[in-house]
Amino acid sequence: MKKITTILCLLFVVAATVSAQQLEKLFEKYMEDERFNYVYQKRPSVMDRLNDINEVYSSTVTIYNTSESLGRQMLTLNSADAALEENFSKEVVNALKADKYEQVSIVRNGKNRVEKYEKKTGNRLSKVSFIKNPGNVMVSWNEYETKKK
Amino acid sequence: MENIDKLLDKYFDGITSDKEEIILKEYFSKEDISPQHEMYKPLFSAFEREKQIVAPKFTIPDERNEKKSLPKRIWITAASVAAAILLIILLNPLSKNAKTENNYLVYINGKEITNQEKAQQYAEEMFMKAEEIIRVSYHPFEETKAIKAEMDADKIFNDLSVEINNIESIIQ
Repeated sequence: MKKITTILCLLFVVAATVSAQQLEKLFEKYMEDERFNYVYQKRPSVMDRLNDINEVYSSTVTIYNTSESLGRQMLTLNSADAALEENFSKEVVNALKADKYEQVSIVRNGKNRVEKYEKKTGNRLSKVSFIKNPGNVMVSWNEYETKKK
Repeated sequence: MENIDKLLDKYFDGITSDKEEIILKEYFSKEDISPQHEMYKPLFSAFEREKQIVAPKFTIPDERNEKKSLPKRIWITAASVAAAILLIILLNPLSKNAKTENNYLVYINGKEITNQEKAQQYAEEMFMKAEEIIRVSYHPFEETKAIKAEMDADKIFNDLSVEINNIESIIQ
């Protein structure tokens, strides 16, 4: 009985891990799609992380000082196909919901719309920027690991 | 008839032999039995009916095998499934581990940029473009925040009191 319980727990953990990566699955689904552009950077340099430094002043979360970047990736849809744009946007929102991301802000400026999402799992912080502007949709995903004090 | 009465007495005393019981059963299986024996007929016909019922084969389960083999099978199956799932995850070519071999991984319209220099150039350009859109989009928001901070009553009074103190110190 103990063995069965252990196996069931193991399977549950595996299932939970697999199901909790909808956003990653989405990136993997479209990264090689000819309608998309995909970029992945393993470890952004200090200069690349200037954006994070800016956030120190604009946000209560001092990411730059308290965390280390684990990499960032971005998926861009370059298509005039409105239906595809809408479907992709829906998929992104559903993936974010499934992965239990918390929406932290929505900003509309002219025709641009930027939505920011965050999720903290253990010592890992994931930040997603979902950018929609006429003609393209971008999903930028940054991951950080909290530094030990 | 008297013989049957005697045999019945012996039967109910439980001292009839097998042969005597056979005689009784044969007698009660007949249609023409005397009326005083009629009341015993159902008893003997019930015995006959019971004889015809074949008891189902009943095998006592081997407890040792029953208890140990089933969980073992479940254990093996579950372990195999778990191992298979883990293997799929670990060997998935598109998993994050596979991405980390290079510093940059870039696909433009479905085609991979294998030249790392070009990939870096393109990646930085793309990230900068996104950051610029975010910066421009959040600019009015940041401005509003700054104005709100400037319009803070406490801050205004603090600034004023500092200024008044300065003027007072100059006058004195």
